[in-house]
Amino acid sequence: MSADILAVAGLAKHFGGLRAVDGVDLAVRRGEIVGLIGPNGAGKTTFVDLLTGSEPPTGGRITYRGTDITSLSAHERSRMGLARTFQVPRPFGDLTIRENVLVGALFGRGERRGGRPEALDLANRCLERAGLSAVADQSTGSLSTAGLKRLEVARCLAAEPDLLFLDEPLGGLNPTEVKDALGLIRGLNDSGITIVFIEHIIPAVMSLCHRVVVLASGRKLADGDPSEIVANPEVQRAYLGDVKAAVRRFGARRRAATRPGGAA
Amino acid sequence: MPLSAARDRDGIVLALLVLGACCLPLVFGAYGLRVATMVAMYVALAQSWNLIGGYTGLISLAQPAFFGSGAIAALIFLVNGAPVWLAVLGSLGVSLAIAVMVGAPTLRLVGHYFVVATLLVSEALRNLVLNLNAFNFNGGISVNIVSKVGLTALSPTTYNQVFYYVMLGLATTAMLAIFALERSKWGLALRAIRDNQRAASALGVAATRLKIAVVLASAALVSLVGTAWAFWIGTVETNEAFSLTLTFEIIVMVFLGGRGTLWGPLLGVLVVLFINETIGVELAEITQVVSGVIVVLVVLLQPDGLIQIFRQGPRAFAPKTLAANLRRYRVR
Ligand SMILES: Nc1ncnc2c1ncn2[C@@H]1O[C@H](COP(=O)(O)OP(=O)(O)OP(=O)(O)O)[C@@H](O)[C@H]1O
Ligand SMILES: [Mg+2]
Repeated sequence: MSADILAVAGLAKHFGGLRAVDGVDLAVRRGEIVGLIGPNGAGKTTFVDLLTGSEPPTGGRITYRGTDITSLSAHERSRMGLARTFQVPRPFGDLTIRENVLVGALFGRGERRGGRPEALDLANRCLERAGLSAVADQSTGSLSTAGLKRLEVARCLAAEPDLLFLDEPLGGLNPTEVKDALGLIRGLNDSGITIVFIEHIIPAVMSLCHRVVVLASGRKLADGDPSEIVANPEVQRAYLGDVKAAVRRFGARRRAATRPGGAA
Repeated sequence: MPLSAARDRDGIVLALLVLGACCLPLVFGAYGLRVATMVAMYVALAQSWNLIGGYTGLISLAQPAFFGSGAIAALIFLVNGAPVWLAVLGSLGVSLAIAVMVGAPTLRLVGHYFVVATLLVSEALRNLVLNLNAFNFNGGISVNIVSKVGLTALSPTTYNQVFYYVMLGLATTAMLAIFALERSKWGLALRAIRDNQRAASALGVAATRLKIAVVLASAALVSLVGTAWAFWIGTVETNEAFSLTLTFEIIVMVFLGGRGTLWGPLLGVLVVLFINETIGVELAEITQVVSGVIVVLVVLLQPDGLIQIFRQGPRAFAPKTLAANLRRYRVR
Protein backbone atom coordinates (compact mmCIF):
# COMPACT_ATOMS: atom_id res chain seq x y z
CA MET A 1 0.00 0.00 0.00
CA SER A 2 1.21 3.49 -0.80
CA ALA A 3 2.11 6.00 1.89
CA ASP A 4 -0.82 8.15 0.83
CA ILE A 5 -3.91 7.67 2.97
CA LEU A 6 -5.92 10.02 0.79
CA ALA A 7 -5.58 10.97 -2.87
CA VAL A 8 -7.84 13.58 -4.44
CA ALA A 9 -7.91 14.23 -8.19
CA GLY A 10 -9.67 17.08 -9.95
CA LEU A 11 -12.25 17.47 -7.17
CA ALA A 12 -14.90 20.08 -7.96
CA LYS A 13 -18.09 21.46 -6.50
CA HIS A 14 -20.19 24.04 -8.28
CA PHE A 15 -23.11 25.83 -6.66
CA GLY A 16 -24.93 27.13 -9.71
CA GLY A 17 -22.35 29.35 -11.35
CA LEU A 18 -20.11 29.52 -8.28
CA ARG A 19 -17.10 27.22 -8.35
CA ALA A 20 -16.65 26.68 -4.62
CA VAL A 21 -14.11 23.93 -5.27
CA ASP A 22 -12.58 24.09 -8.71
CA GLY A 23 -10.50 21.06 -9.64
CA VAL A 24 -8.29 20.39 -6.62
CA ASP A 25 -5.60 17.67 -6.51
CA LEU A 26 -4.23 16.66 -3.15
CA ALA A 27 -2.36 13.79 -1.54
CA VAL A 28 -2.28 13.26 2.20
CA ARG A 29 0.41 11.00 3.62
CA ARG A 30 -0.30 8.62 6.45
CA GLY A 31 0.51 10.17 9.83
CA GLU A 32 0.99 13.78 8.81
CA ILE A 33 -0.80 16.94 9.87
CA VAL A 34 -1.74 18.95 6.81
CA GLY A 35 -2.78 22.55 7.28
CA LEU A 36 -5.48 23.83 4.95
CA ILE A 37 -5.61 27.61 4.83
CA GLY A 38 -7.18 30.23 2.64
CA PRO A 39 -9.27 33.38 2.84
CA ASN A 40 -12.96 33.32 3.81
CA GLY A 41 -15.01 31.67 1.09
CA ALA A 42 -11.96 29.92 -0.39
CA GLY A 43 -13.82 26.60 -0.36
CA LYS A 44 -12.12 24.90 2.61
CA THR A 45 -15.30 23.77 4.33
CA THR A 46 -16.86 22.71 1.03
CA PHE A 47 -13.70 20.69 0.28
CA VAL A 48 -14.13 18.82 3.58
CA ASP A 49 -17.84 18.34 2.86
CA LEU A 50 -16.87 16.61 -0.39
CA LEU A 51 -14.17 14.45 1.19
CA THR A 52 -16.40 13.21 4.01
CA GLY A 53 -19.50 12.72 1.86
CA SER A 54 -21.60 15.50 3.37
CA GLU A 55 -22.01 16.90 -0.16
CA PRO A 56 -21.80 15.11 -3.51
CA PRO A 57 -19.03 16.47 -5.77
CA THR A 58 -19.67 17.95 -9.21
CA GLY A 59 -16.60 16.15 -10.49
CA GLY A 60 -13.33 14.48 -9.57
CA ARG A 61 -12.21 11.40 -7.70
CA ILE A 62 -11.43 10.62 -4.07
CA THR A 63 -9.30 7.62 -3.17
CA TYR A 64 -8.96 6.59 0.47
CA ARG A 65 -6.47 3.87 1.39
CA GLY A 66 -6.49 2.72 -2.22
CA THR A 67 -10.31 2.52 -2.51
CA ASP A 68 -12.38 4.85 -4.65
CA ILE A 69 -14.86 6.35 -2.20
CA THR A 70 -16.22 9.11 -4.44
CA SER A 71 -19.72 7.69 -4.58
CA LEU A 72 -19.93 6.38 -1.01
CA SER A 73 -22.27 8.06 1.45
CA ALA A 74 -21.14 9.91 4.56
CA HIS A 75 -21.94 7.06 6.95
CA GLU A 76 -20.06 4.54 4.83
CA ARG A 77 -16.99 6.76 4.83
CA SER A 78 -17.28 7.22 8.56
CA ARG A 79 -17.24 3.47 9.03
CA MET A 80 -14.06 3.31 6.95
CA GLY A 81 -12.29 5.68 9.32
CA LEU A 82 -12.98 9.19 8.04
CA ALA A 83 -14.22 11.75 10.52
CA ARG A 84 -14.74 15.48 10.63
CA THR A 85 -15.62 18.25 13.02
CA PHE A 86 -17.93 21.05 11.94
CA GLN A 87 -16.86 24.67 11.74
CA VAL A 88 -20.01 25.72 13.60
CA PRO A 89 -20.48 23.15 16.37
CA ARG A 90 -24.05 21.97 16.56
CA PRO A 91 -24.30 19.15 19.08
CA PHE A 92 -27.25 16.78 19.35
CA GLY A 93 -29.12 19.08 21.70
CA ASP A 94 -31.54 16.48 23.06
CA LEU A 95 -28.71 14.19 24.07
CA THR A 96 -26.36 14.51 27.02
CA ILE A 97 -22.69 15.08 26.32
CA ARG A 98 -21.96 11.40 26.91
CA GLU A 99 -24.79 10.33 24.59
CA ASN A 100 -23.45 12.67 21.91
CA VAL A 101 -20.15 10.79 22.01
CA LEU A 102 -21.92 7.44 22.25
CA VAL A 103 -23.43 8.03 18.80
CA GLY A 104 -19.93 7.95 17.31
CA ALA A 105 -18.98 4.90 19.38
CA LEU A 106 -22.09 2.91 18.40
CA PHE A 107 -22.26 3.81 14.73
CA GLY A 108 -18.76 4.79 13.63
CA ARG A 109 -16.06 2.26 12.97
CA GLY A 110 -17.11 -0.04 15.79
CA GLU A 111 -20.61 -0.37 14.30
CA ARG A 112 -20.50 -4.08 13.62
CA ARG A 113 -17.92 -5.08 16.16
CA GLY A 114 -18.77 -3.88 19.60
CA GLY A 115 -21.50 -4.51 22.09
CA ARG A 116 -23.00 -1.81 24.24
CA PRO A 117 -20.54 -1.99 27.15
CA GLU A 118 -17.62 -1.70 24.73
CA ALA A 119 -19.17 1.33 23.08
CA LEU A 120 -19.84 3.00 26.42
CA ASP A 121 -16.29 2.27 27.46
CA LEU A 122 -14.94 3.77 24.25
CA ALA A 123 -17.15 6.84 24.63
CA ASN A 124 -15.89 7.35 28.17
CA ARG A 125 -12.27 7.13 27.05
CA CYS A 126 -12.92 9.72 24.34
CA LEU A 127 -14.62 12.02 26.84
CA GLU A 128 -11.63 11.65 29.13
CA ARG A 129 -9.22 12.47 26.33
CA ALA A 130 -11.18 15.58 25.39
CA GLY A 131 -11.38 16.64 29.01
CA LEU A 132 -15.16 16.32 29.22
CA SER A 133 -15.49 13.47 31.75
CA ALA A 134 -16.54 15.75 34.60
CA VAL A 135 -19.49 17.18 32.66
CA ALA A 136 -20.39 14.05 30.66
CA ASP A 137 -23.91 13.70 32.03
CA GLN A 138 -24.84 17.33 31.59
CA SER A 139 -26.80 18.73 28.70
CA THR A 140 -24.85 20.26 25.84
CA GLY A 141 -26.44 23.62 26.61
CA SER A 142 -24.02 24.01 29.50
CA LEU A 143 -20.94 23.97 27.26
CA SER A 144 -18.85 27.02 26.36
CA THR A 145 -17.46 27.50 22.86
CA ALA A 146 -14.32 25.65 23.89
CA GLY A 147 -16.43 22.85 25.36
CA LEU A 148 -18.46 22.55 22.17
CA LYS A 149 -15.27 22.32 20.10
CA ARG A 150 -14.00 19.59 22.43
CA LEU A 151 -17.27 17.73 22.08
CA GLU A 152 -16.91 17.87 18.30
CA VAL A 153 -13.51 16.23 18.64
CA ALA A 154 -14.68 13.68 21.23
CA ARG A 155 -17.56 12.56 18.99
CA CYS A 156 -15.16 12.06 16.10
CA LEU A 157 -12.69 10.13 18.23
CA ALA A 158 -15.44 7.74 19.27
CA ALA A 159 -15.90 6.87 15.61
CA GLU A 160 -12.22 5.72 15.68
CA PRO A 161 -10.90 7.62 12.67
CA ASP A 162 -7.67 7.11 10.75
CA LEU A 163 -8.10 10.44 9.03
CA LEU A 164 -9.61 13.40 10.85
CA PHE A 165 -10.64 16.74 9.38
CA LEU A 166 -10.74 19.60 11.86
CA ASP A 167 -12.65 22.61 10.54
CA GLU A 168 -11.42 25.66 12.47
CA PRO A 169 -11.14 23.94 15.85
CA LEU A 170 -9.60 27.07 17.40
CA GLY A 171 -12.25 29.55 16.29
CA GLY A 172 -13.52 31.63 19.20
CA LEU A 173 -11.09 30.20 21.77
CA ASN A 174 -9.03 32.29 24.21
CA PRO A 175 -5.21 31.92 24.34
CA THR A 176 -5.20 29.29 27.08
CA GLU A 177 -7.88 27.28 25.33
CA VAL A 178 -5.95 27.52 22.04
CA LYS A 179 -2.88 26.12 23.76
CA ASP A 180 -4.85 23.24 25.27
CA ALA A 181 -6.54 22.48 21.95
CA LEU A 182 -3.19 22.39 20.14
CA GLY A 183 -1.90 19.98 22.78
CA LEU A 184 -4.93 17.76 22.25
CA ILE A 185 -4.52 17.76 18.47
CA ARG A 186 -0.83 16.91 18.73
CA GLY A 187 -1.73 14.04 21.04
CA LEU A 188 -4.21 12.69 18.51
CA ASN A 189 -1.57 12.81 15.79
CA ASP A 190 0.94 11.07 18.08
CA SER A 191 -1.55 8.26 18.55
CA GLY A 192 -1.53 7.65 14.79
CA ILE A 193 -4.41 9.73 13.43
CA THR A 194 -3.70 11.61 10.21
CA ILE A 195 -5.06 15.14 10.46
CA VAL A 196 -6.20 17.80 8.03
CA PHE A 197 -6.34 21.04 9.95
CA ILE A 198 -8.26 24.08 8.71
CA GLU A 199 -7.45 27.24 10.61
CA HIS A 200 -7.18 30.98 10.25
CA ILE A 201 -4.73 31.40 13.14
CA ILE A 202 -1.58 31.20 11.04
CA PRO A 203 1.00 30.85 13.82
CA ALA A 204 -0.92 27.83 15.11
CA VAL A 205 -0.95 26.30 11.64
CA MET A 206 2.77 26.93 11.19
CA SER A 207 3.70 25.39 14.51
CA LEU A 208 1.46 22.34 14.23
CA CYS A 209 1.51 21.29 10.59
CA HIS A 210 4.04 19.23 8.70
CA ARG A 211 2.74 20.63 5.45
CA VAL A 212 0.45 23.46 4.43
CA VAL A 213 -1.95 23.69 1.49
CA VAL A 214 -3.40 27.03 0.42
CA LEU A 215 -6.80 27.30 -1.22
CA ALA A 216 -8.09 30.47 -2.86
CA SER A 217 -11.30 30.77 -4.87
CA GLY A 218 -11.68 27.00 -4.97
CA ARG A 219 -8.21 26.39 -6.42
CA LYS A 220 -5.01 25.12 -4.87
CA LEU A 221 -2.61 28.02 -4.75
CA ALA A 222 0.33 26.41 -2.99
CA ASP A 223 1.37 23.20 -1.27
CA GLY A 224 4.56 22.81 0.76
CA ASP A 225 6.52 23.18 4.01
CA PRO A 226 5.16 25.77 6.42
CA SER A 227 8.30 27.90 5.95
CA GLU A 228 7.96 27.76 2.15
CA ILE A 229 4.35 28.80 2.37
CA VAL A 230 5.01 31.83 4.57
CA ALA A 231 7.69 32.95 2.18
CA ASN A 232 5.61 32.40 -0.95
CA PRO A 233 4.80 35.86 -2.36
CA GLU A 234 1.65 34.67 -4.10
CA VAL A 235 0.29 33.29 -0.82
CA GLN A 236 1.28 36.52 0.91
CA ARG A 237 -0.79 38.45 -1.57
CA ALA A 238 -3.81 36.16 -1.61
CA TYR A 239 -4.07 35.39 2.01
CA LEU A 240 -1.47 36.21 4.61
CA GLY A 241 -1.53 39.93 3.96
CA ASP A 242 -5.24 39.67 4.27
CA VAL A 243 -4.94 38.13 7.70
CA LYS A 244 -2.46 40.73 8.91
CA ALA A 245 -4.91 43.41 7.87
CA ALA A 246 -7.75 41.57 9.56
CA VAL A 247 -5.77 41.16 12.75
CA ARG A 248 -5.12 44.90 12.79
CA ARG A 249 -8.80 45.56 12.28
CA PHE A 250 -10.08 43.22 14.97
CA GLY A 251 -7.62 44.68 17.45
CA ALA A 252 -6.08 43.50 20.63
CA ARG A 253 -8.25 40.55 21.57
CA ARG A 254 -7.81 38.72 18.32
CA ARG A 255 -4.09 39.54 18.31
CA ALA A 256 -3.76 38.08 21.78
CA ALA A 257 -5.45 34.91 20.59
CA THR A 258 -3.02 34.60 17.71
CA ARG A 259 0.32 34.93 19.51
CA PRO A 260 0.36 32.09 22.02
CA GLY A 261 -0.67 29.72 19.23
CA GLY A 262 2.62 30.52 17.58
CA ALA A 263 4.55 30.05 20.79
CA ALA A 264 2.89 26.73 21.67
CA MET B 1 -27.91 0.72 27.85
CA PRO B 2 -30.79 2.08 29.83
CA LEU B 3 -29.67 5.63 29.19
CA SER B 4 -31.30 6.75 32.38
CA ALA B 5 -32.12 4.67 35.41
CA ALA B 6 -35.62 6.14 35.75
CA ARG B 7 -36.69 4.37 32.58
CA ASP B 8 -36.22 0.98 34.19
CA ARG B 9 -39.58 1.44 35.86
CA ASP B 10 -41.29 1.85 32.47
CA GLY B 11 -41.33 -1.86 31.76
CA ILE B 12 -43.10 -2.70 35.02
CA VAL B 13 -45.65 0.09 34.61
CA LEU B 14 -46.32 -1.01 31.04
CA ALA B 15 -46.82 -4.65 32.06
CA LEU B 16 -49.22 -3.66 34.85
CA LEU B 17 -51.18 -1.38 32.52
CA VAL B 18 -51.59 -4.11 29.91
CA LEU B 19 -52.57 -6.62 32.57
CA GLY B 20 -55.16 -4.20 33.95
CA ALA B 21 -56.45 -3.48 30.45
CA CYS B 22 -56.90 -7.21 29.83
CA CYS B 23 -59.28 -7.40 32.78
CA LEU B 24 -61.46 -4.47 31.71
CA PRO B 25 -64.10 -6.56 29.86
CA LEU B 26 -64.88 -8.19 33.22
CA VAL B 27 -66.08 -4.90 34.65
CA PHE B 28 -67.09 -2.83 31.62
CA GLY B 29 -70.47 -2.85 29.91
CA ALA B 30 -70.99 -2.35 26.19
CA TYR B 31 -70.46 1.43 26.30
CA GLY B 32 -67.36 1.23 28.49
CA LEU B 33 -65.87 -1.40 26.25
CA ARG B 34 -66.54 0.69 23.17
CA VAL B 35 -64.68 3.63 24.71
CA ALA B 36 -61.84 1.35 25.83
CA THR B 37 -61.53 -0.05 22.31
CA MET B 38 -61.38 3.48 20.97
CA VAL B 39 -58.68 4.41 23.50
CA ALA B 40 -56.64 1.38 22.42
CA MET B 41 -57.07 2.29 18.76
CA TYR B 42 -56.01 5.89 19.35
CA VAL B 43 -53.01 4.77 21.42
CA ALA B 44 -51.88 2.47 18.61
CA LEU B 45 -52.27 5.27 16.04
CA ALA B 46 -50.68 7.91 18.28
CA GLN B 47 -47.62 5.75 18.96
CA SER B 48 -47.31 4.89 15.27
CA TRP B 49 -47.30 8.59 14.48
CA ASN B 50 -44.96 9.23 17.40
CA LEU B 51 -42.46 6.85 15.79
CA ILE B 52 -42.19 9.26 12.86
CA GLY B 53 -43.23 12.64 14.22
CA GLY B 54 -41.71 12.21 17.65
CA TYR B 55 -38.51 10.32 16.96
CA THR B 56 -37.53 11.53 13.49
CA GLY B 57 -39.14 14.98 13.72
CA LEU B 58 -40.93 14.54 10.38
CA ILE B 59 -44.51 15.84 10.45
CA SER B 60 -46.14 13.14 8.34
CA LEU B 61 -49.67 13.46 7.00
CA ALA B 62 -49.43 10.11 5.24
CA GLN B 63 -51.17 8.26 8.04
CA PRO B 64 -54.62 8.34 6.32
CA ALA B 65 -53.02 6.63 3.32
CA PHE B 66 -51.90 3.70 5.47
CA PHE B 67 -55.03 3.56 7.61
CA GLY B 68 -57.30 3.79 4.57
CA SER B 69 -55.38 1.29 2.48
CA GLY B 70 -55.39 -1.11 5.44
CA ALA B 71 -59.17 -0.83 5.68
CA ILE B 72 -60.13 -0.71 2.01
CA ALA B 73 -57.66 -3.30 0.72
CA ALA B 74 -58.85 -5.75 3.40
CA LEU B 75 -62.40 -5.10 2.29
CA ILE B 76 -61.55 -5.72 -1.36
CA PHE B 77 -59.83 -8.97 -0.46
CA LEU B 78 -62.92 -10.07 1.49
CA VAL B 79 -65.51 -9.21 -1.13
CA ASN B 80 -63.49 -11.26 -3.57
CA GLY B 81 -63.76 -14.28 -1.34
CA ALA B 82 -60.40 -14.22 0.41
CA PRO B 83 -60.26 -15.62 3.96
CA VAL B 84 -59.75 -13.18 6.83
CA TRP B 85 -56.05 -14.01 7.35
CA LEU B 86 -55.33 -13.29 3.69
CA ALA B 87 -57.28 -10.02 3.87
CA VAL B 88 -55.18 -8.93 6.86
CA LEU B 89 -51.83 -9.88 5.33
CA GLY B 90 -52.79 -8.70 1.84
CA SER B 91 -53.86 -5.26 3.01
CA LEU B 92 -50.68 -5.03 5.07
CA GLY B 93 -48.71 -5.76 1.91
CA VAL B 94 -50.59 -3.09 -0.03
CA SER B 95 -49.90 -0.47 2.68
CA LEU B 96 -46.22 -1.39 2.84
CA ALA B 97 -45.95 -1.11 -0.94
CA ILE B 98 -47.47 2.37 -0.70
CA ALA B 99 -45.07 3.22 2.13
CA VAL B 100 -42.07 2.21 0.03
CA MET B 101 -43.30 4.22 -2.96
CA VAL B 102 -44.10 7.24 -0.79
CA GLY B 103 -41.16 6.98 1.60
CA ALA B 104 -38.32 6.76 -0.88
CA PRO B 105 -38.95 10.11 -2.59
CA THR B 106 -40.55 12.10 0.28
CA LEU B 107 -37.87 11.30 2.86
CA ARG B 108 -35.46 13.38 0.79
CA LEU B 109 -37.71 16.39 1.36
CA VAL B 110 -37.27 18.65 4.35
CA GLY B 111 -39.58 20.78 6.47
CA HIS B 112 -42.89 21.84 5.00
CA TYR B 113 -42.16 20.17 1.65
CA PHE B 114 -42.40 16.83 3.42
CA VAL B 115 -45.66 17.82 5.14
CA VAL B 116 -47.26 18.90 1.88
CA ALA B 117 -46.02 15.87 -0.06
CA THR B 118 -47.43 13.42 2.48
CA LEU B 119 -50.72 15.33 2.55
CA LEU B 120 -50.96 15.10 -1.22
CA VAL B 121 -50.32 11.36 -1.12
CA SER B 122 -53.17 10.82 1.34
CA GLU B 123 -55.59 12.98 -0.57
CA ALA B 124 -54.64 11.51 -3.95
CA LEU B 125 -55.19 8.01 -2.64
CA ARG B 126 -58.56 8.97 -1.14
CA ASN B 127 -59.72 10.33 -4.48
CA LEU B 128 -58.38 7.33 -6.31
CA VAL B 129 -60.32 4.95 -4.08
CA LEU B 130 -63.47 7.12 -4.22
CA ASN B 131 -63.46 6.71 -7.97
CA LEU B 132 -62.41 3.09 -7.97
CA ASN B 133 -64.96 0.75 -9.48
CA ALA B 134 -63.35 -2.62 -9.97
CA PHE B 135 -62.68 -5.93 -8.19
CA ASN B 136 -66.37 -6.08 -7.12
CA PHE B 137 -65.79 -2.84 -5.22
CA ASN B 138 -67.22 0.64 -5.63
CA GLY B 139 -65.38 3.30 -3.66
CA GLY B 140 -68.33 5.66 -3.66
CA ILE B 141 -70.59 3.26 -1.78
CA SER B 142 -70.18 2.28 1.85
CA VAL B 143 -69.88 -1.46 2.36
CA ASN B 144 -71.00 -3.60 5.25
CA ILE B 145 -67.94 -5.66 5.96
CA VAL B 146 -69.35 -7.71 8.83
CA SER B 147 -71.76 -9.63 6.69
CA LYS B 148 -68.87 -10.60 4.42
CA VAL B 149 -66.92 -12.42 7.09
CA GLY B 150 -69.57 -14.43 8.81
CA LEU B 151 -68.84 -12.47 11.99
CA THR B 152 -72.58 -12.00 12.37
CA ALA B 153 -72.57 -15.43 13.97
CA LEU B 154 -70.90 -13.89 17.07
CA SER B 155 -73.01 -12.44 19.85
CA PRO B 156 -72.67 -8.65 20.15
CA THR B 157 -70.84 -9.05 23.48
CA THR B 158 -68.29 -11.49 22.09
CA TYR B 159 -67.94 -9.36 18.99
CA ASN B 160 -67.10 -6.27 21.04
CA GLN B 161 -64.70 -8.21 23.24
CA VAL B 162 -62.87 -9.68 20.26
CA PHE B 163 -62.21 -6.24 18.83
CA TYR B 164 -61.27 -4.81 22.17
CA TYR B 165 -58.52 -7.42 22.48
CA VAL B 166 -57.43 -6.92 18.87
CA MET B 167 -57.03 -3.18 19.40
CA LEU B 168 -55.40 -3.74 22.78
CA GLY B 169 -52.94 -6.07 21.11
CA LEU B 170 -52.09 -3.44 18.51
CA ALA B 171 -51.77 -0.71 21.14
CA THR B 172 -49.48 -2.94 23.19
CA THR B 173 -47.36 -3.71 20.14
CA ALA B 174 -47.02 0.01 19.42
CA MET B 175 -46.10 0.80 23.03
CA LEU B 176 -43.56 -2.06 23.03
CA ALA B 177 -42.07 -0.78 19.77
CA ILE B 178 -41.43 2.62 21.36
CA PHE B 179 -40.24 0.97 24.58
CA ALA B 180 -37.71 -1.13 22.68
CA LEU B 181 -36.66 1.77 20.48
CA GLU B 182 -35.89 3.97 23.48
CA ARG B 183 -33.55 1.32 24.81
CA SER B 184 -31.82 0.55 21.54
CA LYS B 185 -29.04 2.32 19.76
CA TRP B 186 -31.51 3.08 16.98
CA GLY B 187 -33.48 5.32 19.31
CA LEU B 188 -30.31 7.24 20.07
CA ALA B 189 -29.56 7.48 16.35
CA LEU B 190 -33.03 8.81 15.59
CA ARG B 191 -32.73 11.51 18.23
CA ALA B 192 -29.33 12.42 16.80
CA ILE B 193 -30.77 12.61 13.27
CA ARG B 194 -33.60 14.81 14.49
CA ASP B 195 -31.15 17.25 16.03
CA ASN B 196 -28.51 17.29 13.31
CA GLN B 197 -28.66 14.83 10.45
CA ARG B 198 -25.39 15.93 8.83
CA ALA B 199 -23.45 15.32 12.01
CA ALA B 200 -25.21 12.00 12.63
CA SER B 201 -24.35 10.79 9.12
CA ALA B 202 -20.76 11.91 9.55
CA LEU B 203 -20.58 9.71 12.66
CA GLY B 204 -21.74 6.61 10.80
CA VAL B 205 -25.52 6.72 11.16
CA ALA B 206 -27.26 5.52 7.97
CA ALA B 207 -29.91 8.23 8.31
CA THR B 208 -32.07 7.66 5.24
CA ARG B 209 -32.12 3.90 5.66
CA LEU B 210 -33.10 4.23 9.31
CA LYS B 211 -35.87 6.69 8.53
CA ILE B 212 -37.29 4.39 5.85
CA ALA B 213 -37.30 1.52 8.35
CA VAL B 214 -39.21 3.67 10.83
CA VAL B 215 -41.70 4.78 8.19
CA LEU B 216 -42.31 1.13 7.22
CA ALA B 217 -42.79 0.03 10.83
CA SER B 218 -45.19 2.88 11.43
CA ALA B 219 -47.11 2.22 8.21
CA ALA B 220 -47.45 -1.48 9.04
CA LEU B 221 -48.98 -0.72 12.43
CA VAL B 222 -51.34 1.91 11.07
CA SER B 223 -52.42 -0.43 8.29
CA LEU B 224 -53.26 -3.19 10.78
CA VAL B 225 -55.21 -0.71 12.91
CA GLY B 226 -57.08 0.38 9.78
CA THR B 227 -57.98 -3.22 8.99
CA ALA B 228 -59.11 -3.88 12.55
CA TRP B 229 -61.13 -0.65 12.53
CA ALA B 230 -62.94 -1.72 9.33
CA PHE B 231 -63.96 -5.03 10.90
CA TRP B 232 -64.90 -3.32 14.16
CA ILE B 233 -67.18 -0.58 12.88
CA GLY B 234 -68.63 -2.94 10.31
CA THR B 235 -69.59 -0.43 7.66
CA VAL B 236 -66.70 1.10 5.75
CA GLU B 237 -66.92 4.42 3.98
CA THR B 238 -64.02 5.64 1.85
CA ASN B 239 -63.97 9.21 3.14
CA GLU B 240 -63.90 7.98 6.70
CA ALA B 241 -61.17 5.44 6.04
CA PHE B 242 -58.93 8.16 4.56
CA SER B 243 -59.97 10.78 7.11
CA LEU B 244 -57.40 13.53 7.63
CA THR B 245 -59.36 14.69 10.66
CA LEU B 246 -58.45 11.50 12.48
CA THR B 247 -54.77 12.10 11.77
CA PHE B 248 -54.96 15.71 12.92
CA GLU B 249 -56.60 14.50 16.13
CA ILE B 250 -53.80 12.01 16.59
CA ILE B 251 -51.11 14.63 16.00
CA VAL B 252 -52.73 16.95 18.55
CA MET B 253 -52.76 14.12 21.08
CA VAL B 254 -49.09 13.33 20.53
CA PHE B 255 -48.03 16.96 20.87
CA LEU B 256 -50.30 17.49 23.85
CA GLY B 257 -48.92 14.50 25.75
CA GLY B 258 -45.32 14.87 24.66
CA ARG B 259 -43.84 13.71 21.39
CA GLY B 260 -40.77 11.55 21.28
CA THR B 261 -41.63 9.92 24.60
CA LEU B 262 -43.09 6.57 25.68
CA TRP B 263 -45.88 7.91 27.92
CA GLY B 264 -46.68 11.25 26.29
CA PRO B 265 -48.91 9.98 23.46
CA LEU B 266 -50.82 7.70 25.86
CA LEU B 267 -51.39 10.67 28.13
CA GLY B 268 -52.51 12.83 25.22
CA VAL B 269 -55.00 10.21 24.06
CA LEU B 270 -56.45 9.83 27.54
CA VAL B 271 -56.79 13.58 28.11
CA VAL B 272 -58.46 14.33 24.77
CA LEU B 273 -60.78 11.32 24.82
CA PHE B 274 -61.68 12.08 28.45
CA ILE B 275 -62.70 15.59 27.47
CA ASN B 276 -64.68 14.30 24.49
CA GLU B 277 -66.48 11.66 26.53
CA THR B 278 -67.35 14.00 29.42
CA ILE B 279 -67.84 17.59 28.31
CA GLY B 280 -68.34 16.29 24.79
CA VAL B 281 -71.44 14.41 25.85
CA GLU B 282 -72.96 17.06 28.12
CA LEU B 283 -71.99 20.20 26.26
CA ALA B 284 -71.20 19.07 22.77
CA GLU B 285 -71.04 22.64 21.41
CA ILE B 286 -68.18 23.76 23.61
CA THR B 287 -65.90 20.70 23.60
CA GLN B 288 -64.00 22.01 20.61
CA VAL B 289 -63.48 25.30 22.43
CA VAL B 290 -62.38 23.61 25.63
CA SER B 291 -59.94 21.23 23.97
CA GLY B 292 -58.72 24.10 21.78
CA VAL B 293 -57.94 26.26 24.80
CA ILE B 294 -56.22 23.38 26.57
CA VAL B 295 -54.08 22.60 23.54
CA VAL B 296 -53.05 26.23 23.13
CA LEU B 297 -52.18 26.57 26.82
CA VAL B 298 -50.16 23.38 26.85
CA VAL B 299 -48.34 24.20 23.63
CA LEU B 300 -47.44 27.64 24.94
CA LEU B 301 -46.58 26.78 28.53
CA GLN B 302 -45.42 23.15 28.28
CA PRO B 303 -44.06 22.79 24.75
CA ASP B 304 -42.64 19.36 25.64
CA GLY B 305 -46.12 18.14 26.49
CA LEU B 306 -48.07 17.23 29.60
CA ILE B 307 -45.55 14.50 30.33
CA GLN B 308 -43.24 17.27 31.57
CA ILE B 309 -45.60 17.79 34.50
CA PHE B 310 -45.10 14.17 35.53
CA ARG B 311 -41.37 14.43 35.09
CA GLN B 312 -40.81 17.71 36.86
CA GLY B 313 -43.72 17.69 39.32
CA PRO B 314 -44.67 21.07 40.77
CA ARG B 315 -41.49 22.52 39.30
CA ALA B 316 -43.22 22.39 35.90
CA PHE B 317 -45.56 25.14 37.10
CA ALA B 318 -42.89 27.36 38.63
CA PRO B 319 -43.17 30.85 37.11
CA LYS B 320 -39.53 30.63 36.09
CA THR B 321 -40.09 27.39 34.16
CA LEU B 322 -43.23 28.72 32.50
CA ALA B 323 -41.49 31.94 31.52
CA ALA B 324 -38.55 29.98 30.10
CA ASN B 325 -40.96 27.80 28.09
CA LEU B 326 -42.70 30.86 26.69
CA ARG B 327 -39.36 32.40 25.75
CA ARG B 328 -38.71 29.42 23.47
CA TYR B 329 -41.19 31.03 21.09
CA ARG B 330 -39.23 34.25 20.87
CA VAL B 331 -38.42 34.99 17.27
CA ARG B 332 -34.73 35.54 16.85
N1 LIG C 1 -24.68 25.14 0.07
C1 LIG C 1 -24.14 26.17 -0.62
N2 LIG C 1 -24.83 26.78 -1.61
C2 LIG C 1 -24.31 27.80 -2.30
N3 LIG C 1 -23.08 28.30 -2.08
C3 LIG C 1 -22.34 27.75 -1.11
C4 LIG C 1 -22.83 26.66 -0.31
N4 LIG C 1 -21.87 26.33 0.58
C5 LIG C 1 -20.85 27.17 0.36
N5 LIG C 1 -21.12 28.02 -0.64
C6 LIG C 1 -20.20 29.05 -1.18
O1 LIG C 1 -19.02 28.41 -1.57
C7 LIG C 1 -17.90 29.22 -1.27
C8 LIG C 1 -16.94 28.46 -0.40
O2 LIG C 1 -17.51 28.36 0.90
P1 LIG C 1 -16.77 27.58 2.08
O3 LIG C 1 -17.68 27.63 3.25
O4 LIG C 1 -16.33 26.27 1.61
O5 LIG C 1 -15.51 28.52 2.35
P2 LIG C 1 -14.44 28.43 3.53
O6 LIG C 1 -13.12 28.43 2.88
O7 LIG C 1 -14.76 27.34 4.44
O8 LIG C 1 -14.68 29.83 4.24
P3 LIG C 1 -14.54 30.24 5.80
O9 LIG C 1 -13.10 30.48 6.05
O10 LIG C 1 -15.34 31.48 5.91
O11 LIG C 1 -15.10 29.13 6.59
C9 LIG C 1 -18.43 30.48 -0.63
O12 LIG C 1 -18.53 31.48 -1.61
C10 LIG C 1 -19.79 30.08 -0.15
O13 LIG C 1 -20.67 31.17 -0.12
MG1 LIG D 1 -15.28 27.18 6.38
